[in-house]
Amino acid sequence: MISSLDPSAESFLSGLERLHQRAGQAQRRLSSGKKLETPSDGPDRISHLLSARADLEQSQQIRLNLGRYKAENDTAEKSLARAVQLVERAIVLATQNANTTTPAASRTASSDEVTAILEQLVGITQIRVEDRYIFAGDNDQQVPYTYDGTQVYPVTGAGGAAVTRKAQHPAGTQFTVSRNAAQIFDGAGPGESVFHSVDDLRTSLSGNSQAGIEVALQDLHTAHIYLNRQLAFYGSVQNRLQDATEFASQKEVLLKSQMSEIEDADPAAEVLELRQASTQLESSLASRAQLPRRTLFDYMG
Amino acid sequence: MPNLLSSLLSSAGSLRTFEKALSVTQNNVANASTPGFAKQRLSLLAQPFNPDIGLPGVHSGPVMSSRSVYAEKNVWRAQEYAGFYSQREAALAQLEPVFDLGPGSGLSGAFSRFFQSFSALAVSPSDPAAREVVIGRAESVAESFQVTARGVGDAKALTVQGIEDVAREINRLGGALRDLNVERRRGGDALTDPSIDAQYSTTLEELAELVDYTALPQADGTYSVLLGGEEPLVIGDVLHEIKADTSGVPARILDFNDQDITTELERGRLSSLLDAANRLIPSFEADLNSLAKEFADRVNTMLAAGLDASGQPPAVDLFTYAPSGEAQSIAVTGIQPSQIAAAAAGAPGGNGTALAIAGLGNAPNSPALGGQTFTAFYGGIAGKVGRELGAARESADRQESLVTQARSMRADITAVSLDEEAAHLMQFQRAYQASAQMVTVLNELTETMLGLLR
Repeated sequence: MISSLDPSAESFLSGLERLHQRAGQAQRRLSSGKKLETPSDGPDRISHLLSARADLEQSQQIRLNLGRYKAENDTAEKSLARAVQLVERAIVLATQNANTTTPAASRTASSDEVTAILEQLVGITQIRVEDRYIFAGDNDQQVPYTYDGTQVYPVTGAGGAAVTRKAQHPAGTQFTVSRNAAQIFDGAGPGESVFHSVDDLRTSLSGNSQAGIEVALQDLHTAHIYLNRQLAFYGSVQNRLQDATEFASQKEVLLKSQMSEIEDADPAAEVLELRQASTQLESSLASRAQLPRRTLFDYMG
Repeated sequence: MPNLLSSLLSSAGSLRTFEKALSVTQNNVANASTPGFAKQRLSLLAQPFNPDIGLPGVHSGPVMSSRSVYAEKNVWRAQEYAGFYSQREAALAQLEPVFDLGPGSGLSGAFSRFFQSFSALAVSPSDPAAREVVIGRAESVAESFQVTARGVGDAKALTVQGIEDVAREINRLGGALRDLNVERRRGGDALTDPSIDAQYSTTLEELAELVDYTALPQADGTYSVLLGGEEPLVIGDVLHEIKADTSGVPARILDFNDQDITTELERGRLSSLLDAANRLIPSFEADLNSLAKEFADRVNTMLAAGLDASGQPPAVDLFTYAPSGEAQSIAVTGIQPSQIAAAAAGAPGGNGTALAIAGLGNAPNSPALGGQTFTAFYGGIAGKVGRELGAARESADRQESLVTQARSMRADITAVSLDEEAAHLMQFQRAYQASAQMVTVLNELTETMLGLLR
């Protein structure tokens, strides 16, 4: 549609429209606190913003995951500490009963206590966190070991599946956070199997075998060292989880800072822009209103 | 031999001439705000005078229009460019909201939540609830793709509708020009009627916003209008309507002989709409489809190489899509939670595949996506829309200024100045009064002469 306005009026109105848009944009940015809300606000910065946001959300999720691993790790560490105490008690009993003068009745009583220790050790392998057997390896729904007192060797089970699961590190790497019950309690090296060492003591005590008790005592010392190494592993995992969590936190601070730089409005600059646009708008309107409206016709008699 | 009567006749003729001049001035003042009107001036011509013969005086010549064809063409050309860019701005402004940049929203938010669901699954791969979440997030990604594709498709549909609307409007204006040609050919006053000139001017200026053309003034005062400089729209009293063919791809404009004239149109709203419908918007659609295809293929491939909850390679993909229109058709299959392959091959119960897919979010991708991550590629599409829109806005602003400038230049030449008309009015008023006084004096002298005869 062709307007009947003269070109100077059209130019004035176009100028007003531009000033209104400037003021409107400054107002919008002040209200939302953002200078990048639509693609045309900053087409070259969009990819950076979205990528930083995605990295932030990834880091936050990883930190959440690390928290879950930490809960699991805390439980595992406490459980293994208890297991170490139990093995130490077994060593005490073995030492006490290694004396050649110890009566058979005493050894029988100690055998009962060692049986209880073995049961507790098997019970430790059955600990669950978030409905997962934490010492079961990748097959976390399958109990690693069970205790069957009717069997000659009462500890049955595969000791858990292989451990291939890893935790994500916010830096992009992965690390192992657990071991299965077989690795912890049933080491392959001589004397490294906690179960066999304790069970050997049990059978030696109940059989009143001096030689058996002495061999079991040696194995228990080896098993104790081995179990402490497993505990140390979980301690190191604890440290790694802590470091990874701190790394994630620092990374998130950095990412938030980057995002703020890209998308957050500068209130001072926007207020200034709004003021300037408003001032120009008022001046424009006032000056237009002052334009002379009289022509020669108004002065003709 | 000069006599009083001939002087009287001459003065009466002058009065008629000044009446005409006043009438032209009055018409100028009345049409001071009429769009397209060019001020007129009555030519005053002195009659040949010999004091021995008599009959001196002034008579009126033709009414001269101040219209400048150059100034008009300047305005039309500026209007063509202004129409092109303002239409592009309008088309892209419809598209911009489709690419939502809000935190957690849009396709980028859906991608992020999808990859984080696999990250959570990696902690507890055997957890059925975590697997359900993965499927839910996958459905969310598919829905986001569909919504975005639909938004782009809707913008394209509106553009195609715009092509039909503008073509209709061009035909309507062509019809108006044809009617003006018919009226002008009536001859007589129609040949110099300034109101017809004003209507030509406004109609051609309206047409310029819609399409580029060449308007050729003819000897009989009519205009022949050729679209794109070549295709006849109006020749004399014949209108050659154009047709918009939007049934196929690409959208086309056909002349009255059903010949495709799309490529001959370079400016105006119609050309801008055609470019948006045939090139600009389809390029965004193609990018979106590439993104959907690459995303679905990468995820499906990684899952297919892993092991599901039963320790077997999965029998079902997670995503499916149609060969063309991937973004619009991408969907989650009927996969069950237990069929999600969280474990890597050879490590049943593990979390290798879940970790790998979780890391896919910031892993470089195939050449199809320029090696970018999914999020960065999506950001690139949104950035392209933003860049095109920003450029269109700047160009539209600039062209609007040029249109105003061209109109201003035209107004300098053709617009009615009330002060100028008032000055002319005073001049003709004095001249008329003087001639009237002459008539009075000559009349008295004639009476005196007749008195001598009695």
